[in-house]
Amino acid sequence: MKTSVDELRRTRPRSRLLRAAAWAVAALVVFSWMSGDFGLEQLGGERRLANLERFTGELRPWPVQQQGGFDAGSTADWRTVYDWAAALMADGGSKALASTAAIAVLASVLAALVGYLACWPAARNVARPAPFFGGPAVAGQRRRLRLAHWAWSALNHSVRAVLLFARAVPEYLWAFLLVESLGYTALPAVLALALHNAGILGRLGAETVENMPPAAARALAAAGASRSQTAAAVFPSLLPRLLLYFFYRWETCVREATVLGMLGVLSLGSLIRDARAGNLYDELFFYVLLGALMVLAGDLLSALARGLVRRA
Amino acid sequence: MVGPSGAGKTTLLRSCNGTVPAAAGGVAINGRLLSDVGERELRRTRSELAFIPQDLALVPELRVVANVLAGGFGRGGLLTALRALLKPRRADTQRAFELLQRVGVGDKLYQRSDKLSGGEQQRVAVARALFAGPRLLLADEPVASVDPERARDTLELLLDLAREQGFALLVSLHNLELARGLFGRLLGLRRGRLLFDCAPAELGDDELEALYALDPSEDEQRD
Amino acid sequence: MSSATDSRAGTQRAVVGAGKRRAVVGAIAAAGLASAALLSAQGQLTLPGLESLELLGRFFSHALRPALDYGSPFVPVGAPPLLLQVATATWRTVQLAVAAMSLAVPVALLLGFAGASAWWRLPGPGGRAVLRRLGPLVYAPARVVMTLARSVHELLWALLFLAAVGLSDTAAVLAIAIPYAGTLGKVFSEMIDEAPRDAAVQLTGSGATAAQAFSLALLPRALPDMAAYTFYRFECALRSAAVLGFFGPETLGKFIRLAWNESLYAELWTYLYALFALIAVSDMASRALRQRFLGETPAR
Repeated sequence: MKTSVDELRRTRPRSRLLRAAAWAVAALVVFSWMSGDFGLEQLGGERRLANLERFTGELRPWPVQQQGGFDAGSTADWRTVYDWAAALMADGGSKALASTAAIAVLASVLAALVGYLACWPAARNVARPAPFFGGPAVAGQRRRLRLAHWAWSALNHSVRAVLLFARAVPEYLWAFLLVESLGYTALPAVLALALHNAGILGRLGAETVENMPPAAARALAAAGASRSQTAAAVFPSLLPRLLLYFFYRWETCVREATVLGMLGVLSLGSLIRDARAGNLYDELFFYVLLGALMVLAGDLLSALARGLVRRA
Repeated sequence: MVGPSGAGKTTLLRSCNGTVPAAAGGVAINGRLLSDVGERELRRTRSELAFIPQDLALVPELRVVANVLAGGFGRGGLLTALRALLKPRRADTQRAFELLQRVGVGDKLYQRSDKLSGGEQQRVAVARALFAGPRLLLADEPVASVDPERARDTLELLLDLAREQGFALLVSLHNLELARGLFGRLLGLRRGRLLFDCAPAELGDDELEALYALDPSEDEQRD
Repeated sequence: MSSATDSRAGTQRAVVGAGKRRAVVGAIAAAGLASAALLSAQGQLTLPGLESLELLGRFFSHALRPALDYGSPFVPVGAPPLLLQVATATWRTVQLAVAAMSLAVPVALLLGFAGASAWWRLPGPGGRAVLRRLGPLVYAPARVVMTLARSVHELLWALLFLAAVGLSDTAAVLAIAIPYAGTLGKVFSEMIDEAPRDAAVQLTGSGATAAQAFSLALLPRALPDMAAYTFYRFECALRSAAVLGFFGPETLGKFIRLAWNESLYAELWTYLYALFALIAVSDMASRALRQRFLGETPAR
């Protein structure tokens, strides 16, 4: 060991990609900020601040605004706020809440069904001729094998491309495109969310299948099991991870479902849109808060479910 | 220390530096009970001990040199740690290099720790333990998953280092032959109790049987 | 030997585990059916009529023939060529996403650190006892702030800004940065808390302070996952930036909406493909970088 510290230091492994990437990101950040029209004066300024004050005033419930103030100690004041909130809930609020939740759940379930089916042809260790799952090689005709390779590869790449497209388009965009054609019902919203999330779950499922330890599958394949038989046998061991992914996407679906209503579908978002159209900022704020509460409840539920799955 | 699995060897080692508090009795180092000692003195005492856990507990994402320098964190504060990470002192790097050379992996100084083989990682863990010049080295099953030849080499290296640098060496081992052949004092642990504490020459067969015997009540639980 | 009993207990546990998982799957399926029932009870699950399907058909038929030049006769004089406009809109999308993330990530690091308990729960003498006592104090407020920030969707933040101060470029950046900082912060704090602590415990056992052990042995183990998640979030930011265009900023969403309103489907597909290309490039880049970090795939 004749090398010295300095020599070792000079020849140490350095990732060129990492450095280049770091510089590229820094350049991108600087360039983005410089070439934009960003200025704090856009947020400040006297007139705008006055507007802001007026706006925050208008966020308070209408009865409170009429009274001119809110006394946190007075039960009568709390009563008026409660009555106002209850009225909002009765007048479509609870219906929208239920609708939002239902859209989120249905969309996630559909997304999981489609995504976790599509993930198999999208997995590189499944969508290939005979030695799939890393199984034993099949001695055979080389020309047949090359054609089979090509065909499987084409299937694999096309499924991956479709999944990529499905998730590249944001849910809101899918919903926008579908709402006009399919009507202002929950159907386009569910389809939009399902499409986008099927892309995501399909991709995540494919990665899970690809990263699966090959031992069990290899044994099955060596015993002569077909692709689908092996997949069915291996699936339970993948289930915990797939369930975790499902719950993460479900949380996101709840978030998006609240907002999709702004396109006209009945959900909290449509109520928000209507409130904004009527300049009823107090109602708008109420529905936004309601949406936030729903998101929080969804997160909590998901955390509980994930804990259950992890401990199982 | 020898004994069957579950005897408490790891627990005993970890209670030596206070990581596991003693449920009964106490650990005294330099004449002071660990439980009596204040934070500062505990820290100073701990920096004179070195512990190599069975899973080595290296930080895989760091370069080897950073892992070795971490052995010297008994002194200094947060800034020392950051220096070790970003811009270590020349003297420190040199010392780390020399230690790594002594254990045979000097040329891996700037490699990422997870790129090393298991044996090489163990050498790094030893170098880390030695960096601060400890007075007691505790090693938990250092040769558990290693073939017998390699195991003997590793243990001989530890013993050489102990003699060179003048520290006490407390090692827990599965392999009774290696223990008897290389070490001067044997402790036998079984189910949390000390069965014997003697030199290898004094070890009788019946004591060995008592150490490794299958428990008759456990026999009944078997189907 | 108790190994036989152990393996039997192990099998029992595995069976119970499988049972729990099956129960979860069953619950999910039931929830799905219940939702479908509720929606159709609300009259919201009507099958599309023939004309709707025709419209969709026309829309999708342009998928393979995206426009390379303006299709509408009402193009104003001096307007840039279509592809240039697409490129500009794409750049504006990137710009908005990058600006938002460059705000969100530093804030998220602070919030995430404050909202993590690993650094003040590490055993071992605290070098600076003051910092240790600070930990529990900032923990709760940090978590509350992050939760509030991320429970409101970025479009709703945009709406609030729009109503309050108008949706300038700065407001658009904030509308994305705020919820993203909240989400990133929460995930960061979880990753810090879940990082393996064996190395940190070993260091404190050898005399290191909690601060030293945290910065050298805990943080480096969490960083790869944190970086991987940040890349994923950036991709989401690109999408959010595109959608924000529906509300005014000159990103891809704005032009998509305009193209749809004028039934210029070919142009619309050009913009869609631009978005697709943007996401694909970002995906490839982040995957290449993630391989360097050996991180796990994030799912959130």
